[in-house]
Amino acid sequence: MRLLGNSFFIGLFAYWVIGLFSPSASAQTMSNDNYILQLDHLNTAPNKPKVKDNALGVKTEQPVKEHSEPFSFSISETLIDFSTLSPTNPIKRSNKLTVSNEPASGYSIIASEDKELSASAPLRGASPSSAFIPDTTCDNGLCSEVSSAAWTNPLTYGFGYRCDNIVGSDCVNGFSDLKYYKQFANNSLSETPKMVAMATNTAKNKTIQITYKVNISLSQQFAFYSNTITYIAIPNF
Amino acid sequence: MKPPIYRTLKKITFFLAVSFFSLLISQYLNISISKVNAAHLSLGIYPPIIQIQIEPPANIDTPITIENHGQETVTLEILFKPFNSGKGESGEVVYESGKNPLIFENIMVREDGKTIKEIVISPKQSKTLTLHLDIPTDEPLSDYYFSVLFVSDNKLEERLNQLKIQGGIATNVLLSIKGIPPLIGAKPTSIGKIVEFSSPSLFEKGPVPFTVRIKNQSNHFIKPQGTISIKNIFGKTIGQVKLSPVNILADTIRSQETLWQETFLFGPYTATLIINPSDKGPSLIKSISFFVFPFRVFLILAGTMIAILLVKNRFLLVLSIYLLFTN
Repeated sequence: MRLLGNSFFIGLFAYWVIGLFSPSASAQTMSNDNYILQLDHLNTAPNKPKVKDNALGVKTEQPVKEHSEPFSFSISETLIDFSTLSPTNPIKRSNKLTVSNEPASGYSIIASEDKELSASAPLRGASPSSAFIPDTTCDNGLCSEVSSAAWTNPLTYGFGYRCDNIVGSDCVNGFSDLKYYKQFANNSLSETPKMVAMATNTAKNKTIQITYKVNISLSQQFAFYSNTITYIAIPNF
Repeated sequence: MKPPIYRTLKKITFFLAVSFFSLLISQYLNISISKVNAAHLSLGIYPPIIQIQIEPPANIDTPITIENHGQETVTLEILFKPFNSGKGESGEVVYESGKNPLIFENIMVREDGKTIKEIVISPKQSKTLTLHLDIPTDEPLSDYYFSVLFVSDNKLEERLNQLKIQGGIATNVLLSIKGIPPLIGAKPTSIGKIVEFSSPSLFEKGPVPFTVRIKNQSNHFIKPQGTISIKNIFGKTIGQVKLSPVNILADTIRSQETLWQETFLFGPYTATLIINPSDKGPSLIKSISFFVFPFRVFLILAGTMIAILLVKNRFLLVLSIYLLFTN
């Protein structure tokens, strides 16, 4: 027993020593530290705009100064995994979008999908097809990338999203009812990206949550379905 | 009785096993952490808006700083997208569909002097790029409004049922290509118009909201300065609200809401809006009136007075009847 105890502590000590001096761990830390140091000493607009010839003037919206905070945009998860889809069992997943240091004139976030949720790798038995899960039209068959509607019926199939305010109130209109969903604008159908959030007032941080919902029918072909959603944060002019 | 070497070997074996197991756990944790971090994207950009006014020909270099605040290296595609204000009046960007105008052939993003179409940024790193504009002499005099977009490229493999999320961030460029300014002495013409200056005409108390809508009637964007002065019934200026300067694109209207934060108000007031669309042109002036009257306080006071009078009168009436009958 004593032998076991001693060996255990010796082992832990060895692990600690190995862990402390292992090259991978120190490299990560040092690398990150270096970058943080660079960031700390960052002059975000180090040079005044270089103006030549007949330029009458170049101005930036915020004063050119050291350590100005940049307009920032974060996405909490860049991969949304629906796992196994089961007919008439809607699956919901969500991620968060955060905007910081927005300009005085405000900002907007636009979103679009490259295509409908499309079969990317057909399973055995399924023909390599153009199978896809259509964008939802909600329970009343009327919701689109522009207008929202209630989607609660498990027999309503498709893919859609809703927006909820976490910090601030920047989600666009149409989501005050928790049952309401919309489609993403579809690039493959030449639909222009649509706003999911906007503000004309300023605050340090704003966060919204996007909830993705997918529901398939019994006749949906077995396959892996995927697409790409793009969010772009744009300052107002 | 086992030989001592056996016990030593057993100790060493156990020691190695514990070390190996600990390392395995640490590696597993590292992988888990990096998987979580891999799913996060965070970008920053500075400046958010760049205003450029030129008289062709002109060469301009202006810096754009892009930052990767995330834990993973990101590859960002650089795109130019022309925009307008759409139907909105709050400064929202509405991207135009269709082919980019030819002027984009003369606009590029450069890194260390080389034109780039994409950029790779390591975690916690920032890069200062140069937006280069080379405007030739024969460029038509006009305004061009466009965003420089930096959009991430999600290269995760397609597996299972999933959404790949890409993120992007933009900086807006307002480019004004102007002609030769008018001769000195020429009468300045107005380039703007006050479309609306309003507030509710009757208030119970402050603060007082104002709506201001300005139209830019020129062919170039403007950034007017404006103030609202508030005078009381005696003509004395008792408050001033400075409007945030905002860009108004050519031939569009920009709307602004502002508040005069004063709360203790009573009587009639006059608010005068003065807008200076440019340094040289004439000012735009418009006045409105509003009245502040504390209804609820007045009603409570009036009600109390009436009640007192009623009680008093009733008391006098009762007293009179009593005296009449007792005498």
